[in-house]
Amino acid sequence: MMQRLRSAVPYVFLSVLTVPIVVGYIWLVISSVSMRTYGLTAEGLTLENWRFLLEPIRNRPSIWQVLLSTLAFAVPLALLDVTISSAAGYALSRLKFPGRRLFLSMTIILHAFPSATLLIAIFFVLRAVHLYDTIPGVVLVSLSLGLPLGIWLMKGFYDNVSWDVEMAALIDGCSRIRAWWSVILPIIRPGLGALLLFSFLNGWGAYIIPYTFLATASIQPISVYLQSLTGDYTFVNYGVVTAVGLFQLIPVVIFYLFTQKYLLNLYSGGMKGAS
Amino acid sequence: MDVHLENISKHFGKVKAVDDVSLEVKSGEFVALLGPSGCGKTTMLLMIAGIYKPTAGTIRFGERVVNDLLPKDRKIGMVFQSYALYPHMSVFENIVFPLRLQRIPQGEIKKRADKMAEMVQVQQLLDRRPGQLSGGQQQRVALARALVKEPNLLLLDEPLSNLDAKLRLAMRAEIKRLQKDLGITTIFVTHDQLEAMTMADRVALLQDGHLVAYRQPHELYDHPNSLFAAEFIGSPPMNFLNVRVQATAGGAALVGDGIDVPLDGEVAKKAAALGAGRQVIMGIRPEDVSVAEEGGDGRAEVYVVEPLGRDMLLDLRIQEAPVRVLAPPSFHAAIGSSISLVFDRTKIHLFDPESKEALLN
Repeated sequence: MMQRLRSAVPYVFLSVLTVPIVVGYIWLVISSVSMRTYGLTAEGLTLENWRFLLEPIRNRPSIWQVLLSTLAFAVPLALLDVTISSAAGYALSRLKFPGRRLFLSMTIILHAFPSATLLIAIFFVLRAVHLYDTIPGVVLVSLSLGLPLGIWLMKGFYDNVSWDVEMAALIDGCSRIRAWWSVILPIIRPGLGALLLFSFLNGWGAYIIPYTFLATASIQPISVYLQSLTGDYTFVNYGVVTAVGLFQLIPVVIFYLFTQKYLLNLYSGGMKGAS
Repeated sequence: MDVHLENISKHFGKVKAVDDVSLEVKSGEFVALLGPSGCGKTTMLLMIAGIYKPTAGTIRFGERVVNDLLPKDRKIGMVFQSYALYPHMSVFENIVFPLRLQRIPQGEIKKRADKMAEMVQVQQLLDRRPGQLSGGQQQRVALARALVKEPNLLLLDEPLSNLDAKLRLAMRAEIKRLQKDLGITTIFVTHDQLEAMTMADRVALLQDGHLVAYRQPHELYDHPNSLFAAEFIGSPPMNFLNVRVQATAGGAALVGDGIDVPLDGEVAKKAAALGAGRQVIMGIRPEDVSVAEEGGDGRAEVYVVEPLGRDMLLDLRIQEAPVRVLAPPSFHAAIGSSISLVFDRTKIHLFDPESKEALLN
């Protein structure tokens, strides 16, 4: 009896913590299909809030344009992140070069760096290279801020691959690069996949960087579009806001549901749970 | 292809992992690099493979100096202690990987793969992944992969360490037979003296990065040139007793606490030549000591008796000094009882206590 009670304690604890979050999500869903809500009670069920799927909301680009902008931002970000991180991670894990120690410590320090403090400086830099208010510009900025973590994670994955396998590849006839491409990368494939997903999801929900450095509405991603709906000086239609919010949220939830196994790789730092 | 190591050293910072080692492996020979953990044997193997570059010295394959030659250009095959199979490839793909890298046509690849698979008996396993194989199976696949490109040199790093006792026995014979059939020059690393003795044509004994001895197994066993060699080779290990040389009417005797070993003939002359009163360490193997009825060279107290089936291993004490003796399986003695021992004069080894060198060879 005591055993049952004791094992129930973590569940009780976690339930208490998650209740506010769950309630929030419930309200989100309810609000997206109502005219008005009082607490969690809906008043006037309607699908009007979802009209933005068919026609653009006044003075704004269509949601599909926004979706395209978001993808144009998140996909290159993820691909570049994985490509650069996997190369840099390998170098840090396997190669001896001058400044390696320094590079390693910088990677950790930069990851912890508060990026918000750099916003003004980045603005001047972007303007100087004519990348302000462009998708490539924000991709570059987000990439730079996200690389320290990506490199650190990749290095961790490489560290878990035994030297033996690499030495075997070199003896079997591989050059260093061939060994990396044909033997080591396939071994850390789960890690690569996890970083790709992680980076993409970060890009999908990115707000501060796109908000600060994209001025043209037609290339702003969905988070900035959402903000523009709440920033109106007129009456805010929370029904529409929550509908758009759900629109942004649903792909993320679906992604997480199907790829949890891979993402856990990142959090646990190992290669477990993947084939 | 023969392999020459000339004054090879490898330093990692201040640590001298290998210190001025020279040895030569003849074509077709099966050589063991034997020594305790940390003696530099794996480092040497990796230098021969080209993974490490020697800090000093030259490595030659035949006439060619290979110090700067990349591993992939050395025409060698290597089996790692962990087997290092590629986990994301099937057994077949693992075996043919070296051939794919050489851009050998598909038909030839299939032929060689089948030949290899049959040689190491893994034909049934070609579609499996390494993770689905047992340790013994993985090792055989690793062997196939090493040999598929028909290398000039085969390197093995502790090939039997990860196998259970029974499999070890079987694989020992398999590997030795395979090497003889193929005639390929082979160098392997091990810390197990039994492995080295049973498989190798010659054994290179290493200690702290130095080459202590490089002889045939029976020479190392019968005539160890140092205390280290004497105590490392042979199981149960050699017994060591502190004695001093005494001049006697018959020639010489070795006298210690509770021991009096009179010598005659050649042995006595050699012992006498060492100088009367000199302190030496006497070495005698457990199988060269026998139990006597009376008299003998000394009395020992029985500490423990271990039946081995084929022999009886007696753990004895001559006063405080431990001595092990291999007796016939029918021997009985109670713990604490006292027995007489006789040492085989032809099998006595003497070592200098300071230099640890053999004195009678």
